[in-house]
Amino acid sequence: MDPRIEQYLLGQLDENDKAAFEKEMENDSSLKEEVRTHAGVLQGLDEIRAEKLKSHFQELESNLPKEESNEEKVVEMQPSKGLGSIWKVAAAIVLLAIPTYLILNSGPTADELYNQYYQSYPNVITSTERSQEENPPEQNEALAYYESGNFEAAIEAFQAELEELPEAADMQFYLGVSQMETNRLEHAIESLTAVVESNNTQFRDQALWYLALAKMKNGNEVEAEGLLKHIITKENSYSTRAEEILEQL
Amino acid sequence: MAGTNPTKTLELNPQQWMDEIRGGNRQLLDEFYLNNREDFIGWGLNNYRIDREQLVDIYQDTIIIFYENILYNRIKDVSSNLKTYLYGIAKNLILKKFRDDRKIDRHEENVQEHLSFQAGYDFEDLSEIKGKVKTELDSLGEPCRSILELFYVENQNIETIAQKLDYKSKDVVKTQKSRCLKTLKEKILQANV
Repeated sequence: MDPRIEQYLLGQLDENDKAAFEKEMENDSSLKEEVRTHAGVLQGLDEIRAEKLKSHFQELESNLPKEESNEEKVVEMQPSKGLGSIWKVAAAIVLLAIPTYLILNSGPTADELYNQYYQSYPNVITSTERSQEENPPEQNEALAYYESGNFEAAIEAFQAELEELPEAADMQFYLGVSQMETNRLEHAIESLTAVVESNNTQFRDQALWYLALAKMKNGNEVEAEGLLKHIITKENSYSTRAEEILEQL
Repeated sequence: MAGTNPTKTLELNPQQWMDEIRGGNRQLLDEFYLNNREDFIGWGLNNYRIDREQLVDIYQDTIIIFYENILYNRIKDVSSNLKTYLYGIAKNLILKKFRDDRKIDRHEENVQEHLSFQAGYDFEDLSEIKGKVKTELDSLGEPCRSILELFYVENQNIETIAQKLDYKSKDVVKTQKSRCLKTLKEKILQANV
């Protein structure tokens, strides 16, 4: 076997030799076939190595001292379905019911209302395979960060995307929610105002709702009230919640 | 993470460290695994909604790809921290995991970047060949099986293999290795027909 075949595949040839070898391969189909077979064999060997390393690392792990699990409980990526999750929901309702009861009796603060009503907005853009293929990859990446809960990275990615496409109100909306998630309320208010003022109708109602919450948390209660009243007149899915907040503010 | 030396135990620069790794020093790889593990998990917990157990799993896969990329000389720019490179692989794996969990069939362009052959040549589907490697390797007699495994799977150098298998000289091992590889390929190609 030509020793260059393996050197080529292992990235050991310098630029000149590599180019020469590739050219030779183009003109010599049997050489090309030989390289292809060798590449396949190496990949097969890579897989064997990967499996072995995986079990080796798992064994290393099992020999490590047990960790204290005092870290914050993190949200599972894929909530388990079935009976288990019903109990979790039930437990959550019981836990939530106690503080809510106390809040209602003492008159909740804006912060408490915010925590009660704020929910991050689901990614509705790349939720289907088809829509993903139609979207630019940068946008998919930003939304993937968003979905994974990495809002810092999501903010950067949305901002980069908006530099290219300043009119993309949908990106602007998700940027705003990401900023709320990271408690950058002033920035969130700016982003969401831009969405409300844009021609985009898909996210206008949502943006209004989040804008009202952001202003409420940021201490602009009068403006928040105005927005909530406006939301009530729109009779959309946020109207009932807007009414509830107004009663308690 | 910038500025910290992930290869701290031995005073090796990243290039020397990678040379050692390519030379088959697996102990160094274990050391690297253990030295960077806690930082990695902390980073994951801070940035993603993934629990510790899943992060350990991702960390292992990250190290495996990292190792493979070293073997294939894919890490060109060692002026940037090796750790930065490691976290780059991890980010791609995490994004891929989120997509897979959502059962979305994506072009995995980001992951491909680190997983695919970067020899610069695009060979069409190799799965038929690579799927036969394990079976055919197992069916090779000794010493072929051991020689090929030690060289390609354990990544030991010829000298170490000569010692381990009691060969008088490196050259004998080299010749033997070439013969064994040829036999393996023939068996795979025959099995393909």
